[in-house]
Amino acid sequence: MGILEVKGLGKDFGGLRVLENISFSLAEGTVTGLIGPNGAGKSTLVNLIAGSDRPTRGEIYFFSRPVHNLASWRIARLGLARTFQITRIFRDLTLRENIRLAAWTIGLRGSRLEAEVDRLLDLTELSDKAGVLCSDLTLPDQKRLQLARALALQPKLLLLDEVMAGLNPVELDKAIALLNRLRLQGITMLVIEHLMKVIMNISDRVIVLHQGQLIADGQPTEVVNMSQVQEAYLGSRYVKHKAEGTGLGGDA
Amino acid sequence: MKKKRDMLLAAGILLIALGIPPLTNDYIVQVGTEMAMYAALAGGWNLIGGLTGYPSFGNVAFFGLGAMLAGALSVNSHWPYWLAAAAAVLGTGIFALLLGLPLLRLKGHYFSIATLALAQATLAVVTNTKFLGAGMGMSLPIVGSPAVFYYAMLAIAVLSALITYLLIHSEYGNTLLAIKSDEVAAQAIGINTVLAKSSAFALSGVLGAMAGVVYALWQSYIDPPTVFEPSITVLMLVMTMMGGAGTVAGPVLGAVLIGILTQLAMEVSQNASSLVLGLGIIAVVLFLPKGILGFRRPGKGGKRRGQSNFPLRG
Ligand SMILES: Nc1ncnc2c1ncn2[C@@H]1O[C@H](COP(=O)(O)OP(=O)(O)OP(=O)(O)O)[C@@H](O)[C@H]1O
Ligand SMILES: [Mg+2]
Repeated sequence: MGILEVKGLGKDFGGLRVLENISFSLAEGTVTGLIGPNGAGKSTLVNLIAGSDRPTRGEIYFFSRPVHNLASWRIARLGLARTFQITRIFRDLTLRENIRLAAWTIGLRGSRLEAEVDRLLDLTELSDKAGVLCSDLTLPDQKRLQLARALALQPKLLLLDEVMAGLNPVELDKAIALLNRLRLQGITMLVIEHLMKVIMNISDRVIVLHQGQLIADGQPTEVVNMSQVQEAYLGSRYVKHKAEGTGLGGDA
Repeated sequence: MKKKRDMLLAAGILLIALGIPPLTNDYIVQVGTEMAMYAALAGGWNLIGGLTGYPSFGNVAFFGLGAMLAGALSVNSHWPYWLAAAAAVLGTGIFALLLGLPLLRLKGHYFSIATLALAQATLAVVTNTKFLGAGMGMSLPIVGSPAVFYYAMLAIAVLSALITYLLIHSEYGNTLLAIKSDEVAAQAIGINTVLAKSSAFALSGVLGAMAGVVYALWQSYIDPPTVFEPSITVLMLVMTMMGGAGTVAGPVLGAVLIGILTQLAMEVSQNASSLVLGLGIIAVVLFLPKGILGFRRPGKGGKRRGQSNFPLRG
């Protein structure tokens, strides 16, 4: 039994059926890549799991506890943290305050709180900008901040929605190394990423969404070679990029 | 350094304020009482409207309810005034908390309109409640002196500023600012946003009610249309916006400026005060979208571009 169980999940926006009958479970300590073309429903799925949005159908269990009707702040306190594809940061707070507030909500206080914030600033290479107001941050820094803020919750499950979009190759390698470190710490992760290089590098398993349906689920190499996946998502671009040895280029 | 300077400035302002009754005349003390009252009210409004980002158009309900409750408990139930006042403040705080729970689910304009309706509904209920005078005015015993009421209002204004200061320098204040920035993200880091917002609204209500209970005794005659006058909310809002929403000194500065402008206008014509209000709103919208003090929080360590609580522009 996994730490996260998704059963028959569905979501409609008005008449639009965005997710349909999604079921999967995440085993503790694993990293799962979630891929699919634009508009497949990946971000919607993350929103449902984190409680930022309510499913139309189906159930979600986190550590065997039903969470599909729980407020997202309660889910966060159970140990589920997430980042947002379109960054959501606290503009009126400094970078340090952003992270500290998250660590504070899980009960850290005093010197332990400050030490944890320092550690996270260091981990995400944001220390030199700690006092900057977040309205002044660049997009890659905002993404880093979101990751630091999510980690401040000391999550058992981390949902990452395109945290690496917009990074240059050097930053990308660092980010991959960071995720691998987190994985060694035993944090279970669900990672949405358009860059196949990242997905192939960090995932134990890959699931594929296409038009709101889960069309593939398996080992990374196995999944990218499935013909229905190549047709649905990777298509000619992947074949082309594979030939160039770079994997699927970022279109995000 | 900056912090020390701000503290000195605040102490200086307070010292001047304390000296007004012995050094000036009753007229100025009267005007000062009103300014202090509005500084307290605007400071209360700032907690929900400025820090939390929920512009309430109904805060006069707390002022009016505080005044009417204290008046009724004292006149009709013969409670000593301090007890009536305490009960009125507490009751209004609970009222704000309970109404905040549903109202703060609304956002932006919807929240503003709902709070506008709340103030009108509260007026209607008060007007139709026999215990609260059934819409008739209420006469309270004439007690104290102008200086006593001045100092009472000043104390509430100082309390209001102090609460704001403590909030801004606490994680609770950061919680409110986080909600203002992005409520979805605030929830995602485990913040119980409903509780945080409602408690800010309740605190705002408590400060409004405190000003209300002092106002009732000061005026010694109150009636619902006066203490529920919608323009009182508008003044809280304009003063806060003009001085600097989300700052400690902004509401105080706004209250003093609008107070002085209103007095100057009244020299010209008795009805000119509404003109001042109108011009104040236009000035804020056009020239000072962030208020005189701007909204740039003072940092707690780390790099900053030389901001303090009292810059000339934000
Ligand atoms: N709040 C909403 N209201 C209506 N439709 C929505 C809403 N959010 C998402 N959608 C629609 O749901 C579908 C899935 O969107 P979603 O953002 O989950 O896709 P995605 O897989 O994350 O795409 P991308 O790779 O571009 O991030 C899209 O067609 C989108 O337009
Ligand atoms: Mg998405």
